[in-house]
Amino acid sequence: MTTFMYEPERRPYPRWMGPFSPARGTRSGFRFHRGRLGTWVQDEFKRSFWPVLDCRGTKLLTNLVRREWGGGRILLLPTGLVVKPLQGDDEVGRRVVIGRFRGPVVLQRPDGRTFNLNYPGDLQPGDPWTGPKTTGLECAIQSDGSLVCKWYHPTRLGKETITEQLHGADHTLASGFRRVRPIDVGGRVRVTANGHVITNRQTWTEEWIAFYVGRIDPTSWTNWNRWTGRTST
Amino acid sequence: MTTPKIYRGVWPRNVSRLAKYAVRIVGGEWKITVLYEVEAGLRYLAVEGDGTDIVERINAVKTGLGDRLGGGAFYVNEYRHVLVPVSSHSSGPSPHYYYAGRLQGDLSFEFEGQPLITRPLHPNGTPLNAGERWVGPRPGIPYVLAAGGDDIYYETPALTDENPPRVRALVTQRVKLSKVLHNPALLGHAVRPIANIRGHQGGRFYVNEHGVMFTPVDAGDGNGMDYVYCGQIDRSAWFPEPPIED
Repeated sequence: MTTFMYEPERRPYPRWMGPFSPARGTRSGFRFHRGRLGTWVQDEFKRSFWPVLDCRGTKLLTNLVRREWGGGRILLLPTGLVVKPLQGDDEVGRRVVIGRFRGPVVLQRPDGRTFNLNYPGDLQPGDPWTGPKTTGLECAIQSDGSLVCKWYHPTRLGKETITEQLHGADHTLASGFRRVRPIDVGGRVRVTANGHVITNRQTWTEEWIAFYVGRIDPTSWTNWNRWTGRTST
Repeated sequence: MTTPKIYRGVWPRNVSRLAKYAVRIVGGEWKITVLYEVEAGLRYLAVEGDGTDIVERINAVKTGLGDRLGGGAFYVNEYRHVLVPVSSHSSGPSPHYYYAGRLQGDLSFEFEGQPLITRPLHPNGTPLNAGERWVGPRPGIPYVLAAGGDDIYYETPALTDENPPRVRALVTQRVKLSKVLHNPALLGHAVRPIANIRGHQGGRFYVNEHGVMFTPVDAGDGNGMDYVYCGQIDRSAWFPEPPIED
């Protein structure tokens, strides 16, 4: 598969009760900027917007989101689900599944080169990650390489927080994480849209730099449909 | 004996050793005790009076759930419900909290000849004022003044709606007083005594069996935390009493 494909979900969009990453500021994750889907990337000198390469799939997704919500943030889950956080005042914390994607997410850098989230280059664990740092599903990697995700939903009286292990013990991920952060037994990682796992490490200048940890096979994450459509208390 | 009931209210997890009562063997008998901080360190104080009814109820809950030893920590909340944490095969590593009836009367302790009570009074019997140091025992149920100082919430494991309830594995619920009251004036009334002490940063405070609120603050002398009395809850502007199922 070489092209980003998008298939919209039928309306009414099912409520998404599953793993989700909160927004870290107003420029994190995949967003719409000047009518295009993409993500903000901060390099050493400046922050710039990297749009997803135009194709039929991105146009379909962009048109749908702009028409229904005017823009905002979306999450491309490694399992292929496209999730939209709702934006109304009475919808804070509510999310819906608006479709499914397949294929690589390819971004266009400001210099015209591309960055392919499916094939980000011949990266080895411990290599710097030059792609976007704020997209993907946030998880906590444990010392055995398992991934635990924590997310919340609003409820009638407050909110509900769910903590679940999404990926079992994984020696390869654990050793990849140790190469990046040898002192830490665990920490925050992001599973990007096409399954590559990254983490941030603080340098001596106190900057946070992203590094490559490894990859998980998104097709191994099954049964995510169980988190659609359930009503909350 | 009836089957112990899982408690539907706040489970006071992750509190310090001073924030709970315990049933222990003192002088060959089960007694209610509390860990009390004195200048020389920490000391267990045994309850004055018998308190045997509570001890029996707590041990009945424990033995009813397969704990053959009996004794251990328990809590009394602002509704005077006695809560007993019990670890078992079904609970896994984190204990589940069970209801052991209501507390009748007061628990009072003695230290160096002076009574230590859980009501807001000085040792000489005069009333304690908000902002004064809380010198009584510290068992209580943890609540949080939200950052911003404009709401109060608690967090506790989520239960199913069934009767008896089951614990929903790995799900925690946060309940906000603002969503319970739906009344900004009442909410402000509830929040003010804590916010007066803790300010906009918010933070944890405790409520004991008399509805007394106290909160840890930096002692300012480099020697850790002091506890400060904030006032008493107004039950008309507070979380409703959790249902006790038959």
